[in-house]
Amino acid sequence: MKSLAAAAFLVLLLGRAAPAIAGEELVLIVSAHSDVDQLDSPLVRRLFLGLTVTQHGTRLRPVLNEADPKIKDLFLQNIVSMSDSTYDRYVLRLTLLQGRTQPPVYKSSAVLVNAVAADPTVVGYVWAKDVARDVRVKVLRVVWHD
Amino acid sequence: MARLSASFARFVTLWVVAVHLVLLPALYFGVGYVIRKSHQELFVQHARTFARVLADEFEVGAALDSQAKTSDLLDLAIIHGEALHAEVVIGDHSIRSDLGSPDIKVVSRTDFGFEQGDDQVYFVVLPIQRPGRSAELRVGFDERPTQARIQLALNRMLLLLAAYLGTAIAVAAYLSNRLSRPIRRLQDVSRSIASGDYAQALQVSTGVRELHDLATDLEAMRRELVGVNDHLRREILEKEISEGRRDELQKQLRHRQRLETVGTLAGGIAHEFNNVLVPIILFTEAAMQDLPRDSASRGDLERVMASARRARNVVHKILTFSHVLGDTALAPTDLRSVVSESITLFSALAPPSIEIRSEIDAEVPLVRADTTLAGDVIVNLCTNAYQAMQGQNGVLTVGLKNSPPHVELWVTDTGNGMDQSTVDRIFEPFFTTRPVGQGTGLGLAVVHGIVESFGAAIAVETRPGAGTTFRILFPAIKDGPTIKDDGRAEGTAPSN
Repeated sequence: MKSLAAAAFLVLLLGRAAPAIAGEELVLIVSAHSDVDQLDSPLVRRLFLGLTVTQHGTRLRPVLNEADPKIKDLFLQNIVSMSDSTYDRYVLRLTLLQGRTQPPVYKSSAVLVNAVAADPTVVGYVWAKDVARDVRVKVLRVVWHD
Repeated sequence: MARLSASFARFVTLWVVAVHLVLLPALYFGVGYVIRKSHQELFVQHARTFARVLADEFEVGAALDSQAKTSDLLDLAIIHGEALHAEVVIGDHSIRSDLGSPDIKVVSRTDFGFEQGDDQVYFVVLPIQRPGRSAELRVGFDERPTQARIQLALNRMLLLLAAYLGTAIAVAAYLSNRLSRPIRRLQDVSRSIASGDYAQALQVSTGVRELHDLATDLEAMRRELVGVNDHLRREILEKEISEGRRDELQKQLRHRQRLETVGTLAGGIAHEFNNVLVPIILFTEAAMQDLPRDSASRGDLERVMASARRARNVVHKILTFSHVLGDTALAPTDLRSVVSESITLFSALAPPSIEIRSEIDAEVPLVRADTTLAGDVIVNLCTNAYQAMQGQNGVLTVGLKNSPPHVELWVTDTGNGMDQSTVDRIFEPFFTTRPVGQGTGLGLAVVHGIVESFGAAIAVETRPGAGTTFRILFPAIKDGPTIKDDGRAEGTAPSN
């Protein structure tokens, strides 16, 4: 009886921990007030590569999330699909040759979520768990899932 | 002090090797890092871009609606994208390219870089979202070709660096040897100079300005050293000659002073003795004239007279030695006739055991001398020679030759010779090596006095058992006539 209770406790513990690992998702978010409901992969890529993307007459503005190294790896691989140094060179070329400003970079997901929620034209990416119950933002698509 | 065990060439070579052993590994790892990162960068960039293009094709195009098209697209990924695995997962089922590796069972979703994981496959997993359906593209790229290219590049670089190291060592050895060759040449010549060989010039053939300048400076120093050395050597030689000459002159001066002292003393005594002899001889002659011829005392007086005359001869010789005879009347004299007459005179008196030879030059200048005294000199020397041969068989040679600016007269015997202590005293009056009573010891003293009065010089060459030679150098009369065999004079009249 005691061993059964211990096993049940262990399963409960693993069950609580498992979603945090196995169910990890990186999602693309915009403000709940934004008119944007959908962005396909090429548009997302263009947006985060600094090219002009408009939806319903509104120009969208990307923000970068560097809250942890994994997010940056996923951004490079799944959003812009570039290597680290290629992306850096690309951004530098945009800045120097075309005079474009680099997208704002956030070191905290919470701050980034607030910024996205406050501006309907802003598009960002965060872990799905960080916006699971946040009604101020809406998820456009899943960029990556474990 | 640093150890002096390495030559210049070895030192430079070892330093080049040491520096390269430090720098080349650093260069290898540095360049290797760049090569590795570059290849990895290219690989990741290619994989991500290719997977993205493929995912966009599935998302935007119509390939996902047909399993055959999906399969074809995945095959193209294998063929053109150098992928090892290509798969699209739609709901519960997946479409996988048959061209991919069948060994891949598990796809890593967290493969974000080159050589992550142990499977040597880089996976890119991209979601495909189309209205009403979702799918997932899984592409795996083989990391091994890139790894092989990296390794190949590293190996080539290693080979290149090894070749460079070998070339650098060879060049260093060649250059250091070429540089050290003139230095060794300088070293060899410097050692030769240090060991006393100043003849070698410090010249090296080199294109290095510093070495050339160094050799030039050292050569200038060598020349200076040679000059100073020669100067010192000459000074030392001159000093030695000067000291030798001074010693000889001092010796001659001491000898002359001794002879003068003895001569002065003997001359004084002889003069006083002569004053005593004069009345003895005069009154003895007077007494003999007064005595009848048959007087018994006449014989006694004649013996007194003979002894007095012998005493006067001795006094005369002493006075001759000590130059107290007054100024000798010197006149241009033909020594050839004097020598000939003296030899004739002496030959008559000499025993047959003595062979007398004469060596007289055909032409001899006149000298300033007194004929009678010159004859006395020759006879005295011949007598001395005869006595030196002690009655044994021997050869006596009298010679006369022209030895400008002198006329040399010599008398040589084949007698027993003399030792140095005897030679030092032979011109002293009353010095004799003969037993007491057999000689007066005045012969050579008189010779010396006469020669001095002629302004000539006398020297003796002798060695025990090797005979004796007396040489007299008469100053020849300048521009005077030369007497030939026939007695005829040639040239101008004597000037002094």
